[in-house]
Amino acid sequence: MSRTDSASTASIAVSASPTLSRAALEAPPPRRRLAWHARIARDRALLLMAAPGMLLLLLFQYLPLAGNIIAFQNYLPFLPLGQSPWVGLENFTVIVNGDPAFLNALRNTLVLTLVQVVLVFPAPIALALLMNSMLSERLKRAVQSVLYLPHFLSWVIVVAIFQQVLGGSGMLNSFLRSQGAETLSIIGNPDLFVALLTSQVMWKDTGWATILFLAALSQIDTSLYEAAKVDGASRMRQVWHVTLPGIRAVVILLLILRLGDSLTVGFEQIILQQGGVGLAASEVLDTYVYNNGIVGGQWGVAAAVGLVKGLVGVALVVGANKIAHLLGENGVYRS
Amino acid sequence: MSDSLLDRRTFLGAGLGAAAIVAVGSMASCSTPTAPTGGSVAGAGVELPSYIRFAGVTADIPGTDAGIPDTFFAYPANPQPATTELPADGSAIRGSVPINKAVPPSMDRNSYWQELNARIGSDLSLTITPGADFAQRFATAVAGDGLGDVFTVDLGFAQLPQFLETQCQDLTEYLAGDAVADYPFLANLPTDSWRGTVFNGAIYGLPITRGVQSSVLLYTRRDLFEARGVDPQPTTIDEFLQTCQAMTDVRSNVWALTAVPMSMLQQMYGLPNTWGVDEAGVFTHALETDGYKDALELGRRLIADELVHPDSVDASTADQKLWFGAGSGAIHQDTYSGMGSMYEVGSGGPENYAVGLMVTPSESGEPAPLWLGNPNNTISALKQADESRIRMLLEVLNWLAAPIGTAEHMFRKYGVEGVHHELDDNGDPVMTPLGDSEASGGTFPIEYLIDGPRPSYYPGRPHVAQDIYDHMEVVIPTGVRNPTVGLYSTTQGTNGGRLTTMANDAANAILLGREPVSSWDEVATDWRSGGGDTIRAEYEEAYAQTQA
Repeated sequence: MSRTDSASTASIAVSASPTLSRAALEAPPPRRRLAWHARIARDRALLLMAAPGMLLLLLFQYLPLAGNIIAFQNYLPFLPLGQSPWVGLENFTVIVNGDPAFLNALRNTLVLTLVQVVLVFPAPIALALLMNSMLSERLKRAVQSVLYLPHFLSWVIVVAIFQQVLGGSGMLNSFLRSQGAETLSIIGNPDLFVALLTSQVMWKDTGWATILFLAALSQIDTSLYEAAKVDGASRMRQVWHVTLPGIRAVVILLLILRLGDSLTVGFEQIILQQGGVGLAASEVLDTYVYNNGIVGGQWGVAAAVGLVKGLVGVALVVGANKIAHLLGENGVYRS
Repeated sequence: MSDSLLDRRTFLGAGLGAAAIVAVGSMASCSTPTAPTGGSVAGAGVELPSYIRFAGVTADIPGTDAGIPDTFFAYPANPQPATTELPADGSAIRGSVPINKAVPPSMDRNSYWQELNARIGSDLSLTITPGADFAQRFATAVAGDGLGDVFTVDLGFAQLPQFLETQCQDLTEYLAGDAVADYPFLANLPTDSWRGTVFNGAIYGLPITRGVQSSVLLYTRRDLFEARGVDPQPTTIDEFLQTCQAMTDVRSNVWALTAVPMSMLQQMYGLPNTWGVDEAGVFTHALETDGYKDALELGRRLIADELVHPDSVDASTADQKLWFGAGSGAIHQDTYSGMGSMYEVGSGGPENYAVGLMVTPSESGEPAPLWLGNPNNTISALKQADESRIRMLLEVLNWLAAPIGTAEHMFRKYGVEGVHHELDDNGDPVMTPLGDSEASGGTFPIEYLIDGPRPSYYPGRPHVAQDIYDHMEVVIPTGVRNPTVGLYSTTQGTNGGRLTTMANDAANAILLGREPVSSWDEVATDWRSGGGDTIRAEYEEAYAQTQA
């Protein structure tokens, strides 16, 4: 398919009334619809390449969506799907009946989301800018490799490492004890829990998250920097006027996608560290669902909360994308 | 959320949390206190299988009626076959089991497993899941009908009685009363254990019996106590505190306790075994008693005085056991059946590594009454099938339940001599590296389909069997039962886990000094109104039926 082809089909596909005539004028007259087998024959290579991915998506993302019907059932796992008793919206009452434990979990989740969007999200951008300004290509590669590594450690390992360093019998406190000094309560301290979680997330994933930003940075036309330099722009002004606008589209795209799972804040990471700090400080929506739904076999309730979380995520993504379009940005897709 | 995420919770749940209140519990490993999560709405009308003791083998110290198991100082000489025919009919048998060690090599690469199949007379293919993941595996396999012909049951499964009734085989006609005589090794299992297999008035399972060996106690590192010249046997609670202080040296990263042994602290104050029942049939939970606050106060003090390993709260029991082995903790709470692993964790330790068993101190100085553990680790069940298939499967399970001293038992546990084990001078099997991997070092997970009555026998360590016997002789007569063993409460099944999480969280907050001990009154009130009272009523009703 040629470039013009794809452009024209795209504009036709979204044809709103006023643009239709213009599109019709600019583009070649709408092609006669090819028979489906002819289209398949034409695109077979592309279709074949997409097939495995589509299959996985279908099997593991779309088919399981049907399982959400258990949100409306008193689900008994040993009965075939659909034979468990229907209970209407009863499973959803936990969300609206003002259960203080649920509200506490919601509050903790929102606090963590806010902190993570404000602190964790920009971190890889800053790191990518730093790495981008490194001159030695070999050094840059080495630094990148080191920074990517923690991403591949599971949460159990990351939590254990933090425990070994900062825990009650960890390196830091052992050293303090051997010096006869007071020990510091860091792990298991409810007041520091948000800070601990945030630093763990940053340590683990900041390096990995730079990949997309580095790719975007490499796309910026170097002549822009030269032009800015000629105009006497300082390093900071170059970053502000060239670099950041150059990666703006990627930043907005990722931010919007991030909003989609804003109510998901690290189930595994939190549940591994919940004992010491207590539920008041550490319960989030996912652990609430686990502790109240899954532990007691209340699968319906667990599914109901998950469904609502998913819908909120979709609403946030669609809403943010809409705002991006209104502001003239591309968002997740071109409007 | 993937399975593995949830599992770690289960796994970690065994930290101070579960130790604090021994009440949750799904699939307990052999060294985690088993959970009295339920049994059945009493066996109204069902006759339990008759107990017909297998007379073929005599123990070095025979067990007692009070519950001390048969003690063996060496494997009985010349074990003879106790059966004559292959138990199976050649058709494939599928099953699901948990394991608490590394998963052994699969059947095609496992000479022990292949020999097992040959001796059974059928291919026994097992889905083996690490114990920490078993509850999740069980739930998904139930939903996907993938458990096989015979499988270990997760007793924490929320809708257990309905599941058993609709999907599993009612074994009453095969096993009740004297019918069990057709399967002599099943008849050799203690009556107490069969109680836990009755649901909805019928026998739905086979017990994985532990007897009193699932009771928890305090283990001590005897060598460390000797090195410091401290008496490992305090008799009063004050002495216990002093002992803990004497065994702690924070500057060298050594703490007396690997975790707050909440179960044992409750026993020190004479609290009921999770639930207590009075003459009138009224149930009281330990957490409702005043003694519970004494136990919390003692636990709080242990932490405040830095006598407990500072990372214990979020650590798994496996981690805590490793601290015990490494000597950064000298006292550890575990079950009798955890004794083998107490030595395993010390295998790289000092030459004189020795594990002692503390008689639990009390306020008065007399041995504290011991909480008797659930007589079963768990149960196994059979998928519904026609009579001939069920009888065949029962024959296989009967064969797998052959007791210590038979050729079947010797092979089942330790494999083939010269291949999987060698015999030492004492006649004890010593596992070869091949036996360690292929036969899981003597604990191949068929022991979670069925097992004979568990003897007190530690190959190569006769003194350990003696130590345990000496300890049991003192404490078993003081034993207190949990009256809910053998009873089932629906609310405990669906709501018990949440209540336990809540109570554990509140107990942790007190132990860690975030909340005062006095805040516990409110926790107990919340627990009652949040479902505790309903659970109590259900247990009382079920209990009344057994008494009728």
